[in-house]
Amino acid sequence: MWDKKSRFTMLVEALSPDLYRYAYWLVGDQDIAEDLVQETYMRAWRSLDSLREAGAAKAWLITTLRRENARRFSRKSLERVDVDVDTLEATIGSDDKLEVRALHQALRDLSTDYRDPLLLQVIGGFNIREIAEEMNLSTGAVTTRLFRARQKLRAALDGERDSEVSK
Amino acid sequence: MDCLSFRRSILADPGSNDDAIVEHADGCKHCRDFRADIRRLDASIIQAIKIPVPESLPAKILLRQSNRPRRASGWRWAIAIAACCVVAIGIGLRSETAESPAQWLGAVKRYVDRSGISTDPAAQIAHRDLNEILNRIGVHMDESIGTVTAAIPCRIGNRAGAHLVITGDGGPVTVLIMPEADLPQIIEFKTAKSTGVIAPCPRGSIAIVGGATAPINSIKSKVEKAISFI
Repeated sequence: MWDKKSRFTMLVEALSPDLYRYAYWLVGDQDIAEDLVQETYMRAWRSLDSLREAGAAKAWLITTLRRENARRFSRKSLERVDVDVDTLEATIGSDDKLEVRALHQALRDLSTDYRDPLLLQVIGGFNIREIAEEMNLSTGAVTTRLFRARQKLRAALDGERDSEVSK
Repeated sequence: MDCLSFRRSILADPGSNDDAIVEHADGCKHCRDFRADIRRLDASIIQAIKIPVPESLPAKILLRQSNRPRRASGWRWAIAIAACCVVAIGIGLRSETAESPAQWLGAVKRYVDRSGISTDPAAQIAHRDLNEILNRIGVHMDESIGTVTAAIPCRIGNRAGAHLVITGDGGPVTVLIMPEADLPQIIEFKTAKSTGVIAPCPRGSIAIVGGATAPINSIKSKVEKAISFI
């Protein structure tokens, strides 16, 4: 049986990259994302005993991170920030595919109503029912948002391909 | 299920294997192609979302957690945080993979210059916690090497290692455990403000760096005697 500290270390090593990426796309700032992930893990440490199934850890941490982010808003009354495209550009290597750049931009342009459920599904591995619970929405509303999010990303990608062809 | 409902469902959940989805896909080539197209889109989305993660993030979280129970007073906490930040900058900096003795010497100097050796002198890492960090790089500390005031996993010369700080009468001394640094000989070095030694071990090497008058060689002997490789 693993002790608390070993479990915690395992959670940090296995899940902090995905948690950071989720936080980054949620708040749009590398420094805030990092702070948010650290705060999330500190809170997770305090309630680690309530985590019964290892398989549920990622969803549990993402839910904790969303609550931590909500607390951040309530503490500082911050406006929601858009993902900073300059920061993003700095993180993309020059040899990265145009497709990835186009998707970065398209993800940035997505309204948070569409981006949030998509991130929960793609990074968090949540299913539609779980996203609905997490976001306090009906499953129908989540289905519509996910459907529209992918439609918009697909359209952006097709537009990028067309403009490359016409060059 | 008609084609419109199928496409709507697939756009909402490309991985869906509901019976109705599978049944429709089996009988409709256009929708099958559409599903393959959306799954490719999802693979691209996953790729796009994978932005680089700061290398130092896990170490920062673990360090912060291990500092938590001490409930340090305001100024001590500030010093500890400052030390963590400085150290973390060092971890996060990328460097070329070291191979030759000269490259290792450069990597150690760069690492120490960038990471700093400031730490909270009142903090003390428990022997068990120290070994938990060292065990991750295949090293075990069999006996005490003095008061260890910081211990974090790190990367030196682009290889995994551990960074310890020992605080004694001669001031703080940095001890780097580098199990992947294979050196043929001992390298001693001095700068205006510091003195150091890199010494080969049965596996990898250790580096000891401190102030100009720090007891480098006695700490080196202690560390050599205390560590074993798993």
